[in-house]
Amino acid sequence: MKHTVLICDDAIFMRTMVGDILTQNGFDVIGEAETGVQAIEQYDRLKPDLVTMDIVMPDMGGIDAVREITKRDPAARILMCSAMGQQALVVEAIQAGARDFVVKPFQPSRVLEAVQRVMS
Amino acid sequence: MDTARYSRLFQSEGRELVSRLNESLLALERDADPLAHVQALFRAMHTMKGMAAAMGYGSMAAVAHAAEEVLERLREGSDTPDEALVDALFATADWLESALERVADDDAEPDASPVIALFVRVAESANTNSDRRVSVRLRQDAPLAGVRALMLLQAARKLGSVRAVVPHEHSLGDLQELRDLSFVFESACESSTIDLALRSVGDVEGVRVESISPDGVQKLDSLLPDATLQPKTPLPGVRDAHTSMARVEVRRLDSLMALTGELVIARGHLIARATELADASLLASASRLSRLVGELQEEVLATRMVQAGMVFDRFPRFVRDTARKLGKNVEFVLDGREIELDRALLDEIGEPLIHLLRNAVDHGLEAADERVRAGKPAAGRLTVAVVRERDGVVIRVSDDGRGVNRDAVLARARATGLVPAETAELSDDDLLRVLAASGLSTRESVTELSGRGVGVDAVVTVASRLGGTVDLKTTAGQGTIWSLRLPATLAIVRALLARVGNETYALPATHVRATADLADIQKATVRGRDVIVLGEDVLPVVRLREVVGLERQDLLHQDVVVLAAEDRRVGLLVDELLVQEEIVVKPFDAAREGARLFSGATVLPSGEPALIVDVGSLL
Repeated sequence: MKHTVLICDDAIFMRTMVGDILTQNGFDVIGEAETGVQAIEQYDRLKPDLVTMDIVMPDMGGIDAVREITKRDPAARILMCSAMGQQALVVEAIQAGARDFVVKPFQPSRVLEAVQRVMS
Repeated sequence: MDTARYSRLFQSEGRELVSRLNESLLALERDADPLAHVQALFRAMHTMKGMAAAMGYGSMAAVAHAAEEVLERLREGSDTPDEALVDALFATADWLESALERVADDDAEPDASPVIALFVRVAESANTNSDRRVSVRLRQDAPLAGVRALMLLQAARKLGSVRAVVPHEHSLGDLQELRDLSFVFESACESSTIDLALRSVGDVEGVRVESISPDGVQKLDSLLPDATLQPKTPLPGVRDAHTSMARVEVRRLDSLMALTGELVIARGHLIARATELADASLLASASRLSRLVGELQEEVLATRMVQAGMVFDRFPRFVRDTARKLGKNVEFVLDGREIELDRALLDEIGEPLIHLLRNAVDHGLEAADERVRAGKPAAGRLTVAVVRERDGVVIRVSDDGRGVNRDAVLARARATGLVPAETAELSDDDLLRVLAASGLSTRESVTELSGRGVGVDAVVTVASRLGGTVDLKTTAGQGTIWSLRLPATLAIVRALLARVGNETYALPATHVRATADLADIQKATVRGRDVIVLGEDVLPVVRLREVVGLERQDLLHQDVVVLAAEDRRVGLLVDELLVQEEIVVKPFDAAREGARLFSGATVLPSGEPALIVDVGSLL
């Protein structure tokens, strides 16, 4: 069975890009969220195998969303998507329970490596 | 207390104490009566403790205190200065040195736990424990490496307890660039389990798990002999001298230097133009500007000059550590540490010198019994001497070891076609060329020869990139001398400009001994080769035209430049000598054919490019 994924990013461009990389590698994108609040709501509803989470989003940021999701489901597999220069935020996200991170601009091979680590 | 007033004093005295500690430790290790040096060590450590405490540097005081206690036990004779203990004391000196640097930078002390842990281990040397030292190397392209390092620690903590993390855990989150992480790990897991768990964190290039044996000495990793011989930290660049200093980013000095270089070129343009226009007031302004630029350039050059000791003071420790790892007995002498060199040059030359030192200890110097059999003192002698010479410096690395094995190198060079098969003997120059061309080692056994590129090529490459030359003299059974002849400053050099055909070439003035009109000097042919006779000297002639691939042309008037490097000289024939200029050396990618003949390029005041002739390659 295909792994399911929820993609959280406020930019359509990034969602599309991440979605393409994952779809081409056998994932089933079952949800997309533009804000942290939406991410939590959709996680509860969809129970995806994997979440990709942008760090900076309107409404509720990615880190708070990670905190909230892992509180509800400690087994949640969340991969952070960060820009260069957000090192401190990535540290926080990892401490909040994210499993791994990738850095924009995305290289498909790096995204897949990270995804495999998160899924294993 | 207003500590700012005292911090300068603290720095200078602290550094002095650290170098005294290193000296005493080296002496302690060598001396038949090690206890003679314990008293000096104790005093230095005690002073350090008091000073650090007064400045409010708790960690430094604590480290000095721990060391003091160990020294106290030595003094009383209730402990002996074994290897682990001396190592711990060396580590203390290193730590104190880095702590001094850190507090000067940002008033924050580095983590003392690794050093303290060493003393704890020395003290509990009878106890066995399951501690292991884990070293992780991250992939070079690992993004946010500091975060990855934290994730590694997180993963490790699932298997055991982590301490003595290097670099300090609190700093990891802010680190952008990081290759190596290490920590002491107490865990019941197999090494292979630890290895696997850490690799699965991602972006890991390698993991090393070493047991820390009960006596506190880490076992050497036999798989990575070279890595263990590397200095633990890269050689430092400028460190503060002891007087009042401002810390300046090296990058700023470099750009100041480059701008000054451009200014010197612009000055050349301006003066040329003013002369052309023959406008008196413009000329006056131009010459005033010219003088100011000259002064500015001198000042900028001066800011870049640092004492050789800034980098070379690491060598005694490096030689000692290397010698110990290889079981050799080596007496090391460093001469001329006060000679000033351009910082950039010093930075570049540090690593190649380390190559030569490692080679000397590893291959050059014999084991004690072999030396004694050969009638030499048991301890090998290794010297690094810096000598000022003309407007350059010479760095000599000499040892009294067995010398390079000419026959082995010759055999290898013949086999690989580096020299014609009928070659019966290699001169010192040929030897250097072969060693540099092939990355051959100087050791006899062929497996070693092919196994280790020892970097003679790196030494030669760096020296020539810096506008210098390398010379090798070696005598079987007596030793080897490497001489690196370098300009004292980089980037701007005086050069004699010479024309052949329509092209201008720059000859570094360091190498120019004399110039003459060919018509005025005596010429002859010796064994089919053209030579010129100058006084009692007979010099071979090299035609720059031929060197750069132009047609040979015997003009009525031609100039001869006598070029020299080390003790070799040559008469270079050029169409015409132009002027002496200060030129800015631009490093130059050896992409084009024949690039070996040139050490760099420059832009002349006229705006034309000119290649800088690598004099060493003509000789």
